[in-house]
Amino acid sequence: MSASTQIVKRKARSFPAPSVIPGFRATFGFTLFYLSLVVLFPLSMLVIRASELGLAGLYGVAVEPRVAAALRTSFFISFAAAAIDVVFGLVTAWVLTRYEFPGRRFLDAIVDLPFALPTAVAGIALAALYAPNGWLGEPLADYDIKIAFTRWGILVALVFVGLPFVVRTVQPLLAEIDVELEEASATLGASRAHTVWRVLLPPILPALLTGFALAFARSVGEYGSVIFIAGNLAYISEIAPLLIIVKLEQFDYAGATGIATIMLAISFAVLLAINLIQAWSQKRFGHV
Amino acid sequence: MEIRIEGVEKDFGDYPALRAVDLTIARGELVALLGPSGSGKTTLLRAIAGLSNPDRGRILFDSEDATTLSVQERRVGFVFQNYALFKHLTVADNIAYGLKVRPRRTRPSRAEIAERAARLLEFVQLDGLGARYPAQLSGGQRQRVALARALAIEPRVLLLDEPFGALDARVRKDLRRWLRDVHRQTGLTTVFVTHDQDEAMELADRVVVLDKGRIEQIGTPDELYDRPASPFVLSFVGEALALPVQVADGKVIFQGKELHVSSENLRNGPARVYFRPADIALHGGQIGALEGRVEAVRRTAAGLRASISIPGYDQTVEVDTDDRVGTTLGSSVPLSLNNVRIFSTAAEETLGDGAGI
Amino acid sequence: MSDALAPAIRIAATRRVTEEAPLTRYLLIGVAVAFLGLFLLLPLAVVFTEALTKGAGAFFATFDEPDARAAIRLTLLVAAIVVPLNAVFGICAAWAISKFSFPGKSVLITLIDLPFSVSPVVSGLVYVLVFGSQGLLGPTLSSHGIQIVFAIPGIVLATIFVTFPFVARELIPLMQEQGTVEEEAALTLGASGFRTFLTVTLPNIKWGLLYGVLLANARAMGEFGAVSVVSGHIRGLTNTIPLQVEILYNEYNIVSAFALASLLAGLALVTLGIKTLLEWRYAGQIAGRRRH
Repeated sequence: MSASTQIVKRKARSFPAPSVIPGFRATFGFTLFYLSLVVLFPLSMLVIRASELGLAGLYGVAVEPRVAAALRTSFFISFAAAAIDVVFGLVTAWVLTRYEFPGRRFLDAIVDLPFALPTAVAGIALAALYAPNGWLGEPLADYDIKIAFTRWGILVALVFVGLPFVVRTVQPLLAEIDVELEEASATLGASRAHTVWRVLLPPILPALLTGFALAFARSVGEYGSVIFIAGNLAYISEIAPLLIIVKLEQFDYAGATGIATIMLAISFAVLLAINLIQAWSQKRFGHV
Repeated sequence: MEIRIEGVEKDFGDYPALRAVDLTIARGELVALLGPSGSGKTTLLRAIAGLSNPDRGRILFDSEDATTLSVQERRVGFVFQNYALFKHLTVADNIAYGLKVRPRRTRPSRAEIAERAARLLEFVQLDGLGARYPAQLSGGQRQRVALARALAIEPRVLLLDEPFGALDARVRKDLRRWLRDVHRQTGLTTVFVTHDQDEAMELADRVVVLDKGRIEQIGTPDELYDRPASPFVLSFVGEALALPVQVADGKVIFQGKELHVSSENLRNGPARVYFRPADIALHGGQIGALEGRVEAVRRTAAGLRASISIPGYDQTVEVDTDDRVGTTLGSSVPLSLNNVRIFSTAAEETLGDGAGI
Repeated sequence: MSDALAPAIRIAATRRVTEEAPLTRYLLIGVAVAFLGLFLLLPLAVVFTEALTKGAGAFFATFDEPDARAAIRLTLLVAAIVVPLNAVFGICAAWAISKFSFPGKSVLITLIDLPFSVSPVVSGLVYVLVFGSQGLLGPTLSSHGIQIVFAIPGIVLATIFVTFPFVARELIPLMQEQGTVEEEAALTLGASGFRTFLTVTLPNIKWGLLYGVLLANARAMGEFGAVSVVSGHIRGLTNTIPLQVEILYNEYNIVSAFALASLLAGLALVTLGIKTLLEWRYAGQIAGRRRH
């Protein structure tokens, strides 16, 4: 390099990595600002209030009989609903991706209904359907089966809410299965059932788990579709989100904060579990 | 326009993508940047275009410092590797894009833009296809549209990133010839990136060979082929074989025997004798210093091709001959070498030319 | 002999090795159809049937009620504020995240997705904690006569929160896939940054943007839990359609409740219809259906 060469020195490292694409400052700045204002700031308020309660305070809220009962109700029924969704979601996804039959496309589109239908609408519809004088409630009452205004009602609502999570998580994987895999299994002498059970389903397992976790997480926090059909009897059919509202109406902010924090912690635990499942799946099967 | 690159360096994290690159490209020249992937050739092209800025050094367009100009101000015609055509615009609108986005003061009238786009379509031999969308074109046609779009802004230089990389072999050949014509007709200073040495040699006035972010050699195709500056250039530009030898007191020793190649300026120590497959032949007469064993003989259209192993060298050498008698299987044959180059292994440095053994 | 073999060959040819026996197939289809019918179609049918039990007159009378009209107006107003804001945010976030590389990107994406893993009720609660009478800013603001929760601003904020990720998470993977090369091409041709966005980026993401906006809008208009916490349920003032549905239902005004609900159910069906259409026609130009 000759002495006359003028060397323009630039920063070695920069944030972001150098690029000719313009607009990073403005868009990144607005993103951070809006995210902080609308999401992070209010959420941090919850964290601050919870830390004021302390672990002892949170524990105190959690063991309060009515709260404990509501958390138990929310948890166990959400778990059961997610499990039911896994079974029927898998069958639904399988049928929708593997078979051709009239109405398939319509059913495929309608699977997303629980995403699109406002929860309050789903709630009153389910309540009307299963009420003692409803289309389903009336015949069931003849057999002394009561669904609306019992815990079974909560289960029905949560199965409704969680279904698309399982179907939409599993469906893409089923669609991508290489037919040669099945053919290979068949040429090796495996029966069809054996092929499905030992060749097709194992790679789907992580997706099923993910779908289960998503449905479960959504169910625990669900409010609108449940409260109309649940009956909302304290200690029996009262869900945790409803109890938050009850506490707020009683101006028991500490109680509301406590329940919310416990629910939030559970959501994050589930989120973490999903990430772990996906990391494992990525390593084991090369896909999520 | 002349492009002068002075001391340009660029790092990607801890990885030096370009190291002390100095290069001058003369007005109207057609230059190839040749190298393997990761050699920095595309980084250099993008730096010229202003798509990335060097960490150090500068780039001059004639006497103007282009390093301080934005990519828009540089007015370079850039043809992207996969063309980067705008999928949602017709071919004609793609070509007209650069004119339409000009500020009102310098923007030609609608009619003029349309007329120019039509002329360019004709120039790239795609007249009548202006209303099509890129997805409706073949690979070669897209390449032409990309070029027309780049030419529409009346660029000061034309830069092409792997212009034929995405095309099949037959189309490549046609487009090569055509690009040569385009260069002649436009007279634009043109730089293209390629990893294909045939392409570089056939098209370019001068070839810049890059490796690991450094310029290995700049030269005409003849110079690169006949006087490669380094073992890298030698093996990258055409096929090359290398015999491991020892240099001692001006003598070049292979397997204990002296090869008669001149070894002036060579340091004592290990070295390699490089030669091209075409430069090895069965020596008609007496047994020389280099001797091989016939491992296999095959018939070719022209005559015979013998696979010959050389003791002390781990690869077999393919030699064309028409000597049926001298190449019986398993027999020893004398070999002669022409145009060998010797590089000392220690510092990978030159030099020593050899006319023959 | 060839006659005896022929039927066997034909059977083997009609049933491929990668298919189940017809009986299994019909059984599975039957289970899926019955399940979807029972859990999805039946509730949907109930909405429209209940709304029309007392005839079209009673159905339409619902919409003459001032409270119902106020609820519809408020819902439209909230959506008109929330959806554009979140769309602009989604575009900005997707631009910064997909067109540049910087450390901490995956953390940022996780934070953007955060509202999806928060219960709607908790989403409302956090705003009460900030703006409520015992909240951080509530007392200060109310002393200046500014009311956030139990008023329209609270409803807007809670709705922003629950629909926050829709547009961004649709656009981010889409724009990451598209890369930056077309934008670079536009820049070399002399286009300015904003011009490049308008003429190159926007046309490439328009269907994905529409998809995200559609989903955000459906959620914004139908949100119940979060809005319920912050609204205060003041009739004619802070009731959105879903809240009004709740009130009517609890008052045993079943026809009106379902009539208003059918409005939202109709919106859901239209949303699903357009969404499905987008997925069929522009499969390559939207990031597609993923979890919500």
